[in-house]
Amino acid sequence: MAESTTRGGSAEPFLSVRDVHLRFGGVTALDGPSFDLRRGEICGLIGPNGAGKTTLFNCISRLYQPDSGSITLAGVDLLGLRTEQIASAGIARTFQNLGLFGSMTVLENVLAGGYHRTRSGFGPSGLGLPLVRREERKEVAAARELLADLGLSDVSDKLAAGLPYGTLKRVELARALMASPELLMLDEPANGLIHEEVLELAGTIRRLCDERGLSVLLVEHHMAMVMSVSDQVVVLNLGRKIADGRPDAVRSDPAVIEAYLGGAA
Amino acid sequence: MSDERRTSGGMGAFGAVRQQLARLREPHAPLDAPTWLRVATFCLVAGVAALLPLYVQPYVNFDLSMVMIYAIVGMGLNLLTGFNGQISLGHSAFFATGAYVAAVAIQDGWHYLAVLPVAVVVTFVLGYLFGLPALRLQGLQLALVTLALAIVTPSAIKRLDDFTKGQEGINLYTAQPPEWTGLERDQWVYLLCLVGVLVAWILTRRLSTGRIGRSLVAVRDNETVARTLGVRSSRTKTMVFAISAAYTGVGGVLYVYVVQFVGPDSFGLVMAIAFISLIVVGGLGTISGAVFGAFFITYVPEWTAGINQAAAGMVYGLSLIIFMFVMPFGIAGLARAALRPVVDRVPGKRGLLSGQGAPTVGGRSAAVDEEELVGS
Repeated sequence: MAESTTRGGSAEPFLSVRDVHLRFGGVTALDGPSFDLRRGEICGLIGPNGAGKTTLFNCISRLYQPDSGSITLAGVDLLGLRTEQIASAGIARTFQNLGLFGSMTVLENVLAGGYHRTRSGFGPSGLGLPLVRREERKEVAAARELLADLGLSDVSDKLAAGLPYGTLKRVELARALMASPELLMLDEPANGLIHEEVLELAGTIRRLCDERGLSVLLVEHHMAMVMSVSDQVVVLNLGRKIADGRPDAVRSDPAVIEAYLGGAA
Repeated sequence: MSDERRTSGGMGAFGAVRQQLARLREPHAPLDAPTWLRVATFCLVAGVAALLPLYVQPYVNFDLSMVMIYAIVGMGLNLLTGFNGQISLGHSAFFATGAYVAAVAIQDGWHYLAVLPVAVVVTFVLGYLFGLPALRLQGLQLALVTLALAIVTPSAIKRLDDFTKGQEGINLYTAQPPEWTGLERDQWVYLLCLVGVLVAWILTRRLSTGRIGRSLVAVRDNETVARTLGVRSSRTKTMVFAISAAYTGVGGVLYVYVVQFVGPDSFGLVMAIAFISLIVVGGLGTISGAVFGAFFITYVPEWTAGINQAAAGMVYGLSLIIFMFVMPFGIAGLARAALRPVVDRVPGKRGLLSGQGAPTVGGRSAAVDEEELVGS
């Protein structure tokens, strides 16, 4: 809060989170955080364990229903949508502990990301209509391009179960991109990666954001990565927002140092 | 993961056996055969199967017709349980429905082929309706509720004796070969079943691959994630339930053509268990597995009949347990593992999803492929 971020200037907020409350039994998971994400920017969402980052992710992707508050994406009220509708609303996400389909190959996993954009239903598929084949051919080409872009071509026909963790993280990213999202939500993408991979990933995210005009919401514990890649950093603690601003400003914010780094830094 | 398994196996003979057993439990991706080989195999099998009834005894045709009927049921059930992950122990009810719709209608003077679409619609709708409450149930609960459906079926048939003639059953004289064919009845019915199973094969392949196939597997593997990708999992699950019921209904109609009799006790619990062991023994989530499994449940009762009337049920139960523990991917999984080294070396243009057909991957040799497989 110390320094307002006005880099984008005129543009309206793309994702807008307002005063979201969520309580599980007696535990307050979210205690009214509010922040905006501007189009085309990367917002790092950080905080100690239990701060409510993933809970907030789950509210945005409609896995949880907040008790009160509002979340809008480009003016659309997300809280009025069901989980099945978020992909069409322009949101794709990854999961902290991987949400891949283990019995599918890498290529099939990525293809699954295109589900909401494609139309082949039970009837046309069963009849084997030409449009089904045409659509599939287009999708496969797009998926292969993505896999090549992320350096995954060599594993494209391997079953996802059994591949190294770092590879699977990239597969999940590819699947999210396959949905052609406008808002990409990454839940600890650097988790389990070695140092070089983290730097590479940060570069990839930045590049994707610029190339595709993506807005990114990023939950991550790897501080160096968050600080280097983000345009804006939001800090949560115990379900509450304690700081919001440019990375350098947030880094030196005493409240953040106190809560997040336990005063050690 | 496989590294862990390999090292924990240790040395010695016991370790080696454990290693082999562990390998049996590993999943296998579908075979990556060139398109020409796929088509050629399909045509060859279909051709041989079409000529076979002309050269064998009527009782063999009868048995093989039953194999094909069970294969159709197996494919439908595999879409539901294998691909979509919904366990149904109650598909004998849909089989009975198909059979009774056919028997009653044929008795009323319908043409035996005309009852087929009717039975498809009836079982589809019934499956859809049953699929709705099934949405609220998962795993074991769904298994129990469908088990109840299987148990209640024979008594329900007996209660509805205005239509079904109750315990007495319905005897028919049907599916006579047209004169121009010059075929015997057993041969004609066999060919009808063959057409059914070939259509079912193609349909199952189309529904288990591509966008729809992926959505089925996605819901099975991780329903929450599937929903974030836009898969309406409820709709998908009810549709698959309905489709698999319709497959099973077709099986019931063909059963009437073959057996020319329906009675309540044919559609009891043993049939329900037979269907489940069919897909488990054959291979969950595979199409060919339905055929292997169909042979299994057709011939097991014949082999065991000499021992005891109830022996078939015991063999089903035992094979279920053994296969689940030792070979969860069934005979089809074993066949995949055995055939892969051969099939991978066959040259030719491959399907869209093939690793070797990838336009972006150049110069990847089969040897490299194998190295990666061993290494991963």
